[in-house]
Amino acid sequence: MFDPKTRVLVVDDMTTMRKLVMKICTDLGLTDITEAADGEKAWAVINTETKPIGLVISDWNMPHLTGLDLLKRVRADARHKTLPFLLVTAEAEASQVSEAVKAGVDNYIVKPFNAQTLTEKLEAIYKKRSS
Amino acid sequence: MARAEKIATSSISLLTVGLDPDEVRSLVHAFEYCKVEHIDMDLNKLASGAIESAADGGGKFTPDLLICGEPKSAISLNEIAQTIRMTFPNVIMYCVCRNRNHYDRKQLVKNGFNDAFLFPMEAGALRRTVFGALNKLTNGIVKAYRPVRLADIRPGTALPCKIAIYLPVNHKYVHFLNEDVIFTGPHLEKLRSHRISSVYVQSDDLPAFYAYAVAGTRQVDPDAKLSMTERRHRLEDETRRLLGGMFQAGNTVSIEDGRKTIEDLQTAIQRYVLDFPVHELRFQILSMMGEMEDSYSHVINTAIYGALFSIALQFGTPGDIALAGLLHDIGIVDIAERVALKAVPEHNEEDTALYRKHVEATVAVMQEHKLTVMGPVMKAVYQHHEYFDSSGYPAAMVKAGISKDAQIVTLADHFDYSTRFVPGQPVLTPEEYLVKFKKDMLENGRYTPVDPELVKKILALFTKQ
Repeated sequence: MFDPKTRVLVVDDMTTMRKLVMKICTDLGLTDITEAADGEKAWAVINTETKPIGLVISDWNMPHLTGLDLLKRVRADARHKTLPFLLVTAEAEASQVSEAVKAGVDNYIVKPFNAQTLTEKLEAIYKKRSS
Repeated sequence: MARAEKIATSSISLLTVGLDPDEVRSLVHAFEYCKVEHIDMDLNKLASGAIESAADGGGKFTPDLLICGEPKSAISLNEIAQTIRMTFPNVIMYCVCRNRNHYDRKQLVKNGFNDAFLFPMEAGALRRTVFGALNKLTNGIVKAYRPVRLADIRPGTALPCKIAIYLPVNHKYVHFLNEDVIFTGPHLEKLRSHRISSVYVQSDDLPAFYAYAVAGTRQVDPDAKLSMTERRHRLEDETRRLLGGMFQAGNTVSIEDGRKTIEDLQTAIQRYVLDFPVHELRFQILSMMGEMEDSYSHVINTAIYGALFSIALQFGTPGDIALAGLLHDIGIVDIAERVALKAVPEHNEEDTALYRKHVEATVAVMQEHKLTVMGPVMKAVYQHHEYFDSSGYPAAMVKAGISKDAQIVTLADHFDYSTRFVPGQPVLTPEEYLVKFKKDMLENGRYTPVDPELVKKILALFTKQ
């Protein structure tokens, strides 16, 4: 599983959902969690944090820069192209996931989800990355 | 408070989000059995898990049941569903939509609600669903009932389950007979003398009742597949699925979606309305009469009565009339709830003007959702408030322009409103209603909604049998 000290960036335009995901991450033992309210702000965080982001958990549907666009921008940048990226989607967007897979997403999770599902997704990303 | 203690005291923690608690109580009488704690919509508070129960001395509040209204902000109902579901993974949660543009039942359920209800159409469906949920949460202390047709209970047979009667004025179910008791002729007479055409069984007992009822039906008609009660319940469930469900596609509805909805409605009509022995016509009408049980009861009653009248009089097309009956009031979703839920005689001038818009609203909803029907069905829908004496609306048509099917739908519409229970008014038998209707038209000079000859013929049908 991810090192508890991994710096996690949670991106969601809805404060409530962002807090919920951060709380689940904390419950999972992750201790270094930061947040951003949309893709543009997340991109700024990814590029300005002194401690590198080690995992992005981003909502798909956001104003300014969507989760998918953020993913594409991350993958297009040599500095971040291997950054683990988990996309959070609503049921309605799940059918478009193939586009995210093409863009290089590590995994995706459909809302609503619980701590166990998030753990499984993070473990899957970790295993894939470790193999 | 531990859940076991809550159940022992029949106290359920209800969280309402964006709804006034009094409003919730008025929607669902089952809540008189429950402790109601209310918070207004505050999603940040939800996410922090900091909801505290005043009753529990400030302990963490975990609701058993949650009813959510529409958001006041730009947050979508789907996002609210996701958030609440992630905050309270095990809560039973329902959504009440008053704006049909927010209502996409399939999506709302996928995103976390257990069910969603479009008001005012589905107020009764919410009530029944909440009773069912409370029944489970309280291990049967709160009872969930569903009406069964008295015509399905045969004197001289042992009842398969307990039966109750409903006192609509104070919303109480009163025990009538235990299971295994022989239902006798005097029992039947007693119920009939109170003009009761349906009694109530607990929802869990429905399968046993269906089996009992269809066995009796087969004594008369060996090929019968369903009892009257089960046919009615299936039609109610199917009508909600199709009419409530058609809003799911919103503005993106395709011609194919609309065609499928109409085909499914026609299939339901064939199976549950038209498939019965014609010689039992009067019996069928009498058996279907009763109080309003569900939000869709009126359109279902209109469809059934209309089809039966059409068959009996050999006037109009039964299948088309039944379809028009099911569709004729869909536009009510766009009429303000305070007007839509008020009895027509209580409407003031402003209410009347608003209410009258429901006919054109129905046509608009049908067009918007690509519900393409044959001309006679559309005419019957559009003309169901056009009256024979040109006093109707929306076009105040003259009698020659009003179709046969529309007149039957109008008659069925009036028949249902006049023969069902209304608090403070006596329930009329079909004969009493038709005599009064005829007298009002021919002697008292009141308005004439349909051809008086039609009423005479239907009255003859009841009086000669």
